[in-house]
Amino acid sequence: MAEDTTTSLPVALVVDDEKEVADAYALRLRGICDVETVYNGPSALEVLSEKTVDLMLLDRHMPGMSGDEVLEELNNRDYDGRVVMVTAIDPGFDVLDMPFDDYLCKPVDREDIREVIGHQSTILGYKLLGEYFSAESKRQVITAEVDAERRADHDEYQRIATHARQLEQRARRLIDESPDLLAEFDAVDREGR
Amino acid sequence: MDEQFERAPVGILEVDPTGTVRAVNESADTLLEVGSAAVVDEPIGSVFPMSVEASVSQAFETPPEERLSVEEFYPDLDRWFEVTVVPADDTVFVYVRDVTDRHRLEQTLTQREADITRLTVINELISDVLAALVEASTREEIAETICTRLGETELYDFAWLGERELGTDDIAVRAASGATGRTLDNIESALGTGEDIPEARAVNTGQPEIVQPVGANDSVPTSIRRAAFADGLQSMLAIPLTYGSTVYGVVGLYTSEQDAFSSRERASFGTVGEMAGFAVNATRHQSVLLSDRVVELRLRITDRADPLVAAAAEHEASLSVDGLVPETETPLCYLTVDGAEPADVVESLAATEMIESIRVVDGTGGSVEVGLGGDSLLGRLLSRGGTVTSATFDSSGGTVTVDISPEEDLRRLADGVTRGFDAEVAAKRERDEEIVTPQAFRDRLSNRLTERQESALRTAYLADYFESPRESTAEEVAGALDITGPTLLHHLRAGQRKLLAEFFDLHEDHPRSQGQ
Repeated sequence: MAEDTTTSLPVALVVDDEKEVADAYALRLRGICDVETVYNGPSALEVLSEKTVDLMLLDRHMPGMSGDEVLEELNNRDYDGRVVMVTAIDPGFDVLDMPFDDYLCKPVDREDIREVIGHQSTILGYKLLGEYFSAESKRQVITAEVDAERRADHDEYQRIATHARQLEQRARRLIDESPDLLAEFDAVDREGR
Repeated sequence: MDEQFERAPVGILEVDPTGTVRAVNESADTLLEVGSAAVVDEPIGSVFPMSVEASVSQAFETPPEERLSVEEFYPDLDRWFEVTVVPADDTVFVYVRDVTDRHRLEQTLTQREADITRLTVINELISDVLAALVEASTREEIAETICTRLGETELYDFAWLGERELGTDDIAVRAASGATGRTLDNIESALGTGEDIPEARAVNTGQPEIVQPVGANDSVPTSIRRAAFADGLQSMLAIPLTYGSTVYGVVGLYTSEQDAFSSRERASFGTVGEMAGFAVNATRHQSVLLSDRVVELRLRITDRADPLVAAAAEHEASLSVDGLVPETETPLCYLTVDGAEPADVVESLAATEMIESIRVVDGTGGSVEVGLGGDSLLGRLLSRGGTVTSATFDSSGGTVTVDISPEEDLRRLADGVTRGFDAEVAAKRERDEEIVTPQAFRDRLSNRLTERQESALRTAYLADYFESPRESTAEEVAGALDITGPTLLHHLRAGQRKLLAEFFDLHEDHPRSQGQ
């Protein structure tokens, strides 16, 4: 998969031990996400340590490492994406207080899956946008205070700048309105006078 | 396309090396579910259905030079195809075979194998639990054994054990093992408010109960369903711990597996519940003998319906129980009468229905033997597993002290007594049962016996005087000790009396244990 497509679409990871089911989800998400598909928990964790994943469609009941166990491992890492659990039953609960962000019940139909993923993309997009704005403000403060030559060696500055750039990229791929919001943010003159 | 290719039983596509489809045979048309007219001159990527691997379109990204064979799943068609790409001179042949049936068969076989493995593991687990139960000797051990063995396997997420509180229908958590999560917290809260949960129903009916899926079953309180769904638990089994018609408690077994419990598992775990109930019952009966904690009840009775209360009041006498022999069909009670003629007391007692037999043992000492009926106060206490440690009756009524095991149902015992008589529990306390070591026993006995009594007993014993028939006569033993025969017999009898008094644990101030 070419690199430039990954920057324009949210990155989704589909995890299900049944290949037929996982592949079906993956094809349903084509066009709205850049999809990675794996068939067990350990492979999912491997993908997560290699690339930034925005959304995860996680089958709950897998032999070996279950979806819940994957989730537990995610809590130990700094995964900041969203998790949609795919379960066999529908108890009809809201997800408040649940260890995942949303859930879908098998069999999952095409529209539901796209809608849930779209919804979670938007939520994550706005969250990352907020983080970007705060990182970017900090970066600009340092820009104003430290001259360009010294900034190159300024670790804190470099760290914030890289982080802000990543957040901006992710926010852009997650929400459609992000260019407008980013333009508005940039238009504010923070240096005064 | 040649006739033989056109009619071939395998799907064939003729593609030029740049990836443009030139011809498609009948089989390929059917398999790929495309109209043949629309596919000729189209790129292979739009003719071939999508798969996650997209191996076929990738094979044509550059003109294929090597043979390639893959098996892929095509979600839109819900079929598995074996696809072989074979480059020839200026044409690339793509062969397509439907291998869906083989894949489905393999899936079924894998599932069966997993089922068989699971069954074997469960059977091993159950025999393991049963073997461990045989070793467990206390209720705590039984509870821990079951929970640890069941809760810490790959099969189940957690197990908890609840016991019925004595004298009530309340269930209290005694042990738990595994990933109890939020679910057990909510089970405990539900137990506290007395909500109807599967475990409580198993206790009430004495039958195992399966609930799956836990998250979507209305027979489980919402708080527990919600927690179980958050914890990822799908199935549960409640196993009552039964012995006959008695239910001692329940085990709740939870797992993330879907439909984890079949009727076979229900039956197998039912056996575990019966075995555990049997083990709990066994510890209850042993506990009076083994436990070092006892509950001591002091009962006060003024009701003259009890013959001993009536006789003491009538004769203004004091009756004190020296000892009881509860093992006989009619329990025997030995008591000392003070302040009245034993014969008069015996006469009154003999006239009542609750006394089965009576005789004066020693008119001067005031000692009387009474055969107690089951309805008398002492009879009731004995038949309910109590150990009467002291009982005195005088003109104001009677005071009885009885020891029972902490495991026994106190309320049931007290009810059984107070239902028959106007009696009340005056005091209740728990205390440590004094455990007498053999050394302490010997030391105490040795202090009681005089030197002569002890040497007479030892010599007679070593000379096989106590064997039947005797290996030495009294004269021979007396001769060895250089004393007369009557003196020897006097010492032996006094020594035996002290030995028995110590063994039967009669008090020092007791008339029967006094004397030389």
